[in-house]
Amino acid sequence: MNSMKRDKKDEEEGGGGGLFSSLDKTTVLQEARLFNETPVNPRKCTQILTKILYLLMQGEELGTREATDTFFAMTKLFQSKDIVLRRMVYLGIKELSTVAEDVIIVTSSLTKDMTGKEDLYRAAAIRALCSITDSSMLQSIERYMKQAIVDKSPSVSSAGLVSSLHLMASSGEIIRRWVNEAQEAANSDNMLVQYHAIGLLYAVRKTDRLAVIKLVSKYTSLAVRSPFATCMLIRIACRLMEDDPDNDSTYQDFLESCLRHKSEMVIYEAAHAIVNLKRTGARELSPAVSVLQLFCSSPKATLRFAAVRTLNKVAMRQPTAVTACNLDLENLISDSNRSVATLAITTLLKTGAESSIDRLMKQIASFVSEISDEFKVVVVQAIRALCVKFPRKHGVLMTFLSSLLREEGGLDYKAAIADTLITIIEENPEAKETGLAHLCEFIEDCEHTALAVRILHLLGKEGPRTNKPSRYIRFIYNRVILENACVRAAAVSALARFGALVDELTTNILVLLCRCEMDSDDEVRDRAAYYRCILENQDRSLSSHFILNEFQEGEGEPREGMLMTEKKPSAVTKTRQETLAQQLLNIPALAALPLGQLFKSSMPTDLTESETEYVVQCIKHVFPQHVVLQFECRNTLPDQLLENVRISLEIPAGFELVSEIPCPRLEYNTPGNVYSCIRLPDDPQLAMEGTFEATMKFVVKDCDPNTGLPDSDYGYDDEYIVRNDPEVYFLFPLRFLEYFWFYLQLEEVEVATGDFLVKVIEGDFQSAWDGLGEENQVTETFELPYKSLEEAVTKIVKFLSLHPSERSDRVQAGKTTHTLYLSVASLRFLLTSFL
Amino acid sequence: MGFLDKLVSLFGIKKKECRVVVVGLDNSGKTTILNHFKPTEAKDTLIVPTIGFAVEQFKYKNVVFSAWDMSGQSRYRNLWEQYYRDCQGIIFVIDSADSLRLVVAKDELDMLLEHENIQARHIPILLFANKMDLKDAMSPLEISRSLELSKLQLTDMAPIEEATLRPIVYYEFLQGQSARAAADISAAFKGNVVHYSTVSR
Ligand SMILES: Nc1nc2c(ncn2[C@@H]2O[C@H](COP(=O)(O)OP(=O)(O)O)[C@@H](O)[C@H]2O)c(=O)[nH]1
Ligand SMILES: [Mg+2]
Repeated sequence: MNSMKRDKKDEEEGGGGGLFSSLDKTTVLQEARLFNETPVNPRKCTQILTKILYLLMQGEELGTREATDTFFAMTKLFQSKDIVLRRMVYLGIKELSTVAEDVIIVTSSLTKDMTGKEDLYRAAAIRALCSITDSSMLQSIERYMKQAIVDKSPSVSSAGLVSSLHLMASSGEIIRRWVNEAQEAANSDNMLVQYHAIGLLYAVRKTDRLAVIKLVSKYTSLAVRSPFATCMLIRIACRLMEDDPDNDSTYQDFLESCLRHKSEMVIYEAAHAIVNLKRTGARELSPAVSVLQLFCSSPKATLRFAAVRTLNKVAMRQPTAVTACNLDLENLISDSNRSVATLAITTLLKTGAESSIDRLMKQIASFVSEISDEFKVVVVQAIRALCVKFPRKHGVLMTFLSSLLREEGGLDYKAAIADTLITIIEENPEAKETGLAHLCEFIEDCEHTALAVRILHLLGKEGPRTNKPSRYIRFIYNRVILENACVRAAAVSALARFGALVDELTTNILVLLCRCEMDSDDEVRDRAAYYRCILENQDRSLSSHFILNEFQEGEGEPREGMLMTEKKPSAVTKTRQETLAQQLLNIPALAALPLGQLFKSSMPTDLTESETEYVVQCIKHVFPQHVVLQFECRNTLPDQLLENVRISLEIPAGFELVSEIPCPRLEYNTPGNVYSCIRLPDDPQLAMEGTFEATMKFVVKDCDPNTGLPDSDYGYDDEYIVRNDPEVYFLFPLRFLEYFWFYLQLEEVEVATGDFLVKVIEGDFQSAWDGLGEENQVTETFELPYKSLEEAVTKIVKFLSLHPSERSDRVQAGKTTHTLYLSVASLRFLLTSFL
Repeated sequence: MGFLDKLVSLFGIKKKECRVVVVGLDNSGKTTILNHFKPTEAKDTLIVPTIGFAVEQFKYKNVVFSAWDMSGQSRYRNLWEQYYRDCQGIIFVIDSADSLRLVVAKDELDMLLEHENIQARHIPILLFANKMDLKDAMSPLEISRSLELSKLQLTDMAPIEEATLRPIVYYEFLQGQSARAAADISAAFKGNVVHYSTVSR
């Protein structure tokens, strides 16, 4: 104790940080040699250790040699009885334990300290000990750890528990043996010990759901004293509830009882948990919102902050639930804590009426420059929600946003603003031209390449359809002159779209593209040349296909040879479809069949688990009257040769097996194909659905893994047949006495509606649709079993395997109707769902 | 003069602290010996194998001794040398009943004697033939033969100070001692026991 006081005084005398300014690693490590001297000078050594730790904390890295030398020098300090020095040594051990070698050398010294009489050593020694221990050493200190966990000193017990928790990752099996001790500690009167003990118990059982349930019900019914532990139980309970939505309401009761807890921490945790649970409905929400409302007028800034932040989240999903708090939130607008004020305002923006918007926006404007980017993003998100809710307010809101754009800010923040503007433009046709004008202005002075590219893309997409497309050309072409290659390339693509869509502009655009062909960057030049070549053709379908469509495809599969401008674009691409069709035609037995034109080939589906000995994938090729199932088989055993591989199918009613082409030899790791050609039913109702049970049949021969040659002419004989593999059933010889057939049950092959529809990427849905004429349109109303619009849209797209046009698969939250445009090869749908 | 007295006399009154490294194969009884130096209430009742090292401190004739109890397990033996440099004395403990591993002990002793941090200085080394109480314990003579102590050049108890020009190893060979009996220990370290010889090499 004495020495502790002394050191403090020295430090004060030393004055502000002089000790640590301009420390040099080599010098400090040199000084560390002092550790070897007897008698130890505790004051000097403590100072040197402090310097070493300081350097490490500053990110300085020691090499293995340096670290090991320092570590061993440090071990000499164990002979000093100075308490401060010893505790510094523990810290040093922890820091160097990951770099230095042979750190286990201090094990006995540390176990001595952790079991010794000096209480100031014990907890810290445990922590240091666990940092140098691995699972092989853990066994030898297990006894001490168990004792420590149940030690009557809370700090020792906590240190033991927390260290065990850290060791769980590497030595879970050993720690599991300490649950009895942990359970005893969980009954402790000390809040932290109880918390740490329950934490360890949970970590030990985490993977066993049932055990976790038991743990939670035990400690929730016991009325745990520690608020920390209660908070943790709340979190665990929530995880259980989320994992199993059908769960009864036991945990719900627990959460609600926590709202009446005497500790504010627990109350907040419970409210926060309820708010964030997916299953929470209006009934569960209201008591949680009530306690948050109370917190809004708490004198503690942290509580106000927590409450308003959580309310802000609620307001995003269920604004009505928060309206009750509007008065309290209004009071918080003038809160001295800017973060609280921002959150209060943005919450009000979500819950308030249209009439209060102008007032609130003014208030935000008054302090927006004082808050951090992170909160500015919150503000922007609130505005975004508002635009959706009150489309008529877009003028005020957009002006505000564009003023924000002009100010300083990081990429995330600027992107959030641009995103919001883009959403407004997409949602609200009236706002389009003003929005685009704001964005044009922004890219004149935008330092974020990614953002500039996005906006140029948007201009290319929306600009040509405005009243006066020509006004955008200047902004876009300015980018070609002023920006980096990435942005220039994006600008070129945008220009091309104007050229393709606006006839009056085509000639001008061609001139601009010509100029772009002088660019210093390859990509920019290539794009310019490519687009010019297409535009010069003056063929609408060509430009629609090769200029307008590629935008839609975006990140999708890149089309081969997209930029090979020497070739005529129409001849450029050979699709996967064509390649597959060619492959099929190369098989004489199939080519001989009257199959007709290949309509669509599916993506391969796995019929086996991927780690099995034999792997089978199926590709469905759909023809007008037939479907050809291609089974791609792979043998993963180097010492086996499969022969006469066949896939036998159970053909459902209406379908008819026309032809089957087996694979004569399947060598190790060389894929082989089996084909089955099936005629579709004539009844079109049936054609859509069919399930084929499939079994692979084959003969196995042992072979030399090096040469691949079979060991004998025969397959397995009796004594080899007994196999433990449940997947492969041995049956008695079927055809030939000397052959033994193996049967491998595969997953079912399904032929469904989606296989008969093709995704078409249609540039401009509206004009394509209108081009079809009234006579091709049918309107029908379907009742769909989906709970939300989002779900309905994803399910429909997936079920029909169609391509959503105009990004119409994105559903705006909170809307009740949504139009989904889907394109199909043979028929086109407009689905409007009312829910 | 006992070993500790020798150490004390070496420093005179100038130095008040003294570092002694205790080495020897595992299970030879190092920790047990040191346990005897602790005050009664701090004595360990159960001696467990040492992992790495532990420092024990005790006071003798106003000098504070720090005894570095090193682990003798093979994986730690190469770490002993880390502690040779600044020590003022070495105790090498031998399990007299472990005839099988006496060759290993000899190897370790030879390596110790040849170590640069020991050769260059003259520090007293105590060879402690422990566990003499066991009935299959070898006699000190047998042990000293096996260790080939005679190969070390013998001088007669020459005071260290006079031999500063040549590297000198001073050692005492305690005979008939057992760490089992506390009386033996104190006799060994403090009392006036017969020393076998003093050597220089
Ligand atoms: N019979 C007998 N046993 C001893 C003697 N000294 C130590 N032991 C035992 O030998 C074992 C190893 O002792 P320990 O001090 O841990 O050896 P270390 O590895 O050299 O530290 C322990 O079980 C001791 O009780 C002794 O003089 N006589
Ligand atoms: Mg020991």
